[in-house]
Amino acid sequence: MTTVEKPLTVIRPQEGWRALNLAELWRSRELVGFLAWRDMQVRYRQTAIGVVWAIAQPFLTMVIFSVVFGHLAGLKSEGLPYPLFAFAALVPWQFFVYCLTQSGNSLVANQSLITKVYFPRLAIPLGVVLAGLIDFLLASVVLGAMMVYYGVAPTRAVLLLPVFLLLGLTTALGVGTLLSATAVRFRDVQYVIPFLVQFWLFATPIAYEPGIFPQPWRSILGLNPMAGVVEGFRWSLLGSHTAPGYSILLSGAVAVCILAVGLVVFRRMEASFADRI
Amino acid sequence: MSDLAIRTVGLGKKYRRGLHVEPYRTARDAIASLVTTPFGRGPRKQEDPWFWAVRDLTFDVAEGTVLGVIGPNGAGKTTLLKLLSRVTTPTEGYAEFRGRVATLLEVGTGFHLELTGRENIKLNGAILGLGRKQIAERIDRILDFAEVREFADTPVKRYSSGMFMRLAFSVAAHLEPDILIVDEVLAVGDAAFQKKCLGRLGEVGAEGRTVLFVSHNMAAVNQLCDRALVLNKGHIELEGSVRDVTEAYLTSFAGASAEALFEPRSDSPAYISRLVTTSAEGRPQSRFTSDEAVVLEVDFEVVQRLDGARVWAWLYSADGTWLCGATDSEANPSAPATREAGAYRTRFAFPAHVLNEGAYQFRALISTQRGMRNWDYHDDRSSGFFELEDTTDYTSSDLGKRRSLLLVPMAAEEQRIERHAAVVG
Repeated sequence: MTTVEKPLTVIRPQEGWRALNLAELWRSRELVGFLAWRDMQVRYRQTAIGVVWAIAQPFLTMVIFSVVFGHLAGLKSEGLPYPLFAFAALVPWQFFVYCLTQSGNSLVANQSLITKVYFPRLAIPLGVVLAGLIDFLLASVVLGAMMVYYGVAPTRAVLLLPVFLLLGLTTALGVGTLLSATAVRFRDVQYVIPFLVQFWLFATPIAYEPGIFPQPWRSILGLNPMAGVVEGFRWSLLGSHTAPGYSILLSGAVAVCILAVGLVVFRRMEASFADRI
Repeated sequence: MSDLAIRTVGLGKKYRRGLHVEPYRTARDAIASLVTTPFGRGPRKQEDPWFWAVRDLTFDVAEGTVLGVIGPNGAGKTTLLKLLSRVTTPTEGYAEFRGRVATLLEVGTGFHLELTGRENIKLNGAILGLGRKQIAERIDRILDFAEVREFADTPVKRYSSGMFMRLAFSVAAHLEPDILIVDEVLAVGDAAFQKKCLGRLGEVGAEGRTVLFVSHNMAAVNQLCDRALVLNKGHIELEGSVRDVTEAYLTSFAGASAEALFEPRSDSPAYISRLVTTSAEGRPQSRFTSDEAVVLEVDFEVVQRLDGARVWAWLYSADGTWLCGATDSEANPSAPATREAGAYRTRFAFPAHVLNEGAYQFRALISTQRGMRNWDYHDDRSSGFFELEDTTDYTSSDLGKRRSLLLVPMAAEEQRIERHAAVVG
């Protein structure tokens, strides 16, 4: 009998806390890929310059920052050319902002899917992060070109770059799952996100060097995992003076906490998404 | 029990009333409701906000069965499918099934208008549970079945609605899961494509897959299904072979008598005391011919003086489709605005030669002026039913007995005309 091979699925009431079903998530990895692919496809349809926007956004922000903060305000940039100093931070930052804004709204935007088909709901915010990562890679190419232009060579610390990327990913996914699950109940989230992004931008040393904060504020900055990411990117790629010290451990711990809270809340609310959305 | 595909034990789902109506739940809504009902004691508070959409559903589906699920609107059919497809979780009970499940609660779920037909097939396939390889194998068959091959690389927003529906259904029809759950999807496309869909579903059943098929279309259920299940108000009312069940379902209406009497109610300023279907002459009867008017008499008691109360009559077909309705003030401008305590009778007349034969139900309601609050409502199985028989003589007609919902005759005239000039280009 072939029936023996068929998987058995059991449905029962689900209340309260549930563990992460990694096996199921792994089985739907292709779906995550397809959702990211759809976002990529749809985002730049009917635009004149298409995927160039993925590069243009951080690049234009960098130009504005260079003029306003680097030129007019004369902010210091750890001895690096200001445009490079800003861009090395903006590339991971734009990735983070993309994840934050897109995944915050992702469940609501995919309402018709959630109320009609079953699949692990985590695939949706994961798909957003994956799509953001592709933009990030494109922007990284420009960053590399700028490093060549300014004649800045990475040091051996570049080997640690994946660690900082992972830190950014963890934070982005954590905040993304938390906001997307909350937005199912409270549409207020969509209004909170722009403020959150603005506030977070000022709390992250993108336009300025982290050294402008005296201690103990300098250490408190480490509570913001994105500060660790930005400093880490500059240090490992451009060889900036300020090597991330203990604050990177603090950043890491905070990022893991955010992800844990995000996943727990997401899993807790997941069962009622279809009823409450 | 390896020959069972689906087994449910006491499955139930409870919803909160009102949540479906409020699309958004925001802090502002909370404040707004605070203003409108400052003490949190709106009139609605008296009702239990929780209700069971389905409850005590216990049934088995053997492997390879095509099970039809029938029932009036609001009987819980869609909730049952949502539970089995795991879109939502049950409040109580238990269910298990063997094999890969694909659900089709809606055609075109996850279709994106900006994407091309081919891209949507890939995406939709992935959402419905197909792997990359399986999609690649089937993409040509899907395009051919949908008859949209030449538009495979056109964004679906440029498709006609028929093309869109055909494509969406084809993806779903080529999923080849162990268990297929389908909700009302045959209401799509033109008649020829509907036939093709039914054929495809029939094939799926013949291949030994288990199919759960929800439909209002009794003919389709009869044609496709081996077994059927009738849901009513969230409970299983009938279950058995499809022939037995559909027959019992349709004749369950005929058993109703013309007259239904109701107990007095003390919790309402007005209540319905009697519903009866009569001929135009006022003779109670539950069987009518298509050339007779059907009259619904609503007898109601006004317990205390009432301003602006309205009496409503709604007509439904046996499968729960809402056909038409009227209030006493619309149908009768001289209906009183204020009623003193006492007994009243409103007569609603439905004209002859409109509906085709079949079973129908009147539902009656007394409410405040704009229906903000219901005083009394009757929609149960025991009242308002009548059967209509088409006694028109079709012997000299081209078509014979009509199979349409309506019998309303259309006017036609003919004349000789000039030939149209040939269309150039």
